[in-house]
Amino acid sequence: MNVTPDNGAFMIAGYSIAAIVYFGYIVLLFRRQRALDRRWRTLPAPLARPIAPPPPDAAA
Amino acid sequence: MNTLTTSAPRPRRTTDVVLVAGIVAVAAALVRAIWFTPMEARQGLAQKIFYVHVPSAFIALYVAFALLAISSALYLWLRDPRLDRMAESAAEVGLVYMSVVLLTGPIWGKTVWGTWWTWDARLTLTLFLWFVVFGLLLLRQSIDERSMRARYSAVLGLLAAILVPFIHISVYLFRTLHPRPIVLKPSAPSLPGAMLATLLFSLAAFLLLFVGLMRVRYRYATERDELLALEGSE
Repeated sequence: MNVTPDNGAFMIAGYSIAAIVYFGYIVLLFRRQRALDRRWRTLPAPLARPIAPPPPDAAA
Repeated sequence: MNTLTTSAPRPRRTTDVVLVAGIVAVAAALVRAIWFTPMEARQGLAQKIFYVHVPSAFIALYVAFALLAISSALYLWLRDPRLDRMAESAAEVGLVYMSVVLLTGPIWGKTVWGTWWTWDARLTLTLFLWFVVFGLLLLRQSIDERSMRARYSAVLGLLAAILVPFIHISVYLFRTLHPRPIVLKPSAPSLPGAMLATLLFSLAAFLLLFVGLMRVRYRYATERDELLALEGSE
């Protein structure tokens, strides 16, 4: 006769560890993105990107 | 003079809908697994780790690392930086999935095999793959020159992915404690219907989460590269 073992604690441990890893990674992604956003905001003005070529008389 | 310039055009971003949907789907899959799926008679509740362990392994091996291999191979051919970013993202997200596999496996194994770990072919190769992909990400951190970094990591990414078929067939080639596939095999899946339905639901949920994570990670890599180009760091 099979006796079902009482091992629910292992299931909880497995699910908890998986949740910690996945959520930990999501938090890491968002923290890294926030740090990148801060770098974007502090980009010095001379680095502003031209969105159109300067007019022909600008060279003169 | 009206030279048109703008402050650095940082893309407008909102919360990634796919990522949120993935988180909700995974939560729903786990609720279904715990409360609405029958318990395996001999293994007890610990068997329900299956619904996290198997989808994570499937997506890491057959989706993330396949994507890593394809992106790496295409990068070596086309030298498109978007492919390098795709490979980088797939490696990192795949490593997270693989970490879950390597952490949940021993917990389940302890209840079924009576041991946390054994150095059989399947487990050892999987651990080795984890280290290779971790090494790939470390390698990327240590090379400043962009094209060299992309080239080296593409080669290593291809080599890492070669391990995947070996991991799959290792349970057939060697005598291992790890069971043979019960779903991905030539004959019909040997799982009761309710368990198979939960497994497939869980697989879809973790796949959705993977897509969400990839979108966020790829966007991060794109914005970082744009910023580095603007700063002239590279």
